[in-house]
Amino acid sequence: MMVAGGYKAIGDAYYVEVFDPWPPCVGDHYFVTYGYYNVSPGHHTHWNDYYDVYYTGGP
Amino acid sequence: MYRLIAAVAVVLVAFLQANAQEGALPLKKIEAVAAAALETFDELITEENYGPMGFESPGEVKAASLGTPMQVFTVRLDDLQKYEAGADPDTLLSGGKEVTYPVLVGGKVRSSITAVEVGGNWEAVSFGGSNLAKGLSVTRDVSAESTGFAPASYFEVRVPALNLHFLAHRSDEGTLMLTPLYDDRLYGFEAGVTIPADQVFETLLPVAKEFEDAPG
Repeated sequence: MMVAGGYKAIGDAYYVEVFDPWPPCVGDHYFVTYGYYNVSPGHHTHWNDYYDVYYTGGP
Repeated sequence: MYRLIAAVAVVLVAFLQANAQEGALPLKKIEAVAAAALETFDELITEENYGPMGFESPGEVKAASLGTPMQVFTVRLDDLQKYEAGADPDTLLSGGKEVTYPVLVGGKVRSSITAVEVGGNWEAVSFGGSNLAKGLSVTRDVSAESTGFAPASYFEVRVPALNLHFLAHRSDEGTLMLTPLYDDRLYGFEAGVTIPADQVFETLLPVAKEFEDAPG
C-alpha cells in the first residue's frame, strides 16, 4: 500500500507522485508512470483507493 | 583509454553473468532508455520536491549520470506460501525484467531510475526512491569490498507482500545469498548481515502462510 499525493503531466504521459511509507520512520518519495501505477503483470495491480482521508484525533 | 574500456568490459561481463539465469538482458537498449529518462527526471523535479527526491538542489539533476545497474527479482507471496524447507530457493525468484539504475551526482548516489519490460519494449517507469537507492548502494559497496565480487554481479530481491528488500549475490559455490537492507525484529534480520536465501525463506514461511494478500 502506498500514498498517491499528486500527479504530473509531461507531454502525453502522466506520472503519479508516490509517498511510500516504507521503511518505517524513513519512507521514500518517487514518481511512477500511470501505466506502472495501474498494473505491472506478475508484480502488482491496482486494488482499492481510499481518499479524503483526514486525521480526526486530538493534537 | 584502454583502462576505461577494460573497466567497462569488466562491469558488463559481471552484469551479464548476474542476469544469465533469466537470459541476458539487452543492456545497451535498457541503458539508452534510462539515459533518455534523465530528461524526464529533470522535468519531474521542482523547488518543492528536490529534497525528498534525493537531490541537494533543484538543478542538480541536470548534472546527473547513471551508475551500475541492478536487476530486480520478486518473490511472490503465493510462491513463498508453497515453499518447503530444503527446496531450491532459486525457484522462488520471478520477474527479472526490471532494472534499477542509481542516479549519481559527483559520483554519489542521489536517486534512481527503474526500467521494466512492457510488451517487449523497455520503458522507464519509476523516478526517485532515493532512500532505497542509497541503501542498496551502500550495502552493495560494503558487501563487494568484503566478498571481492564485482558490484555489477549483485542484484535485488524483493518480497513485496512482506515489504522486504534484499541485496542479493551468489557465493563462489553458486548459493543464493541475501543481505537485508534494514533491521527487522519480526524476522530477526540485521541490516547488512548476509544470510543464505533458503534460511531467509524458511524464516519468512510461518508469517507468509498466515498472510492474506489483501490491502484491507
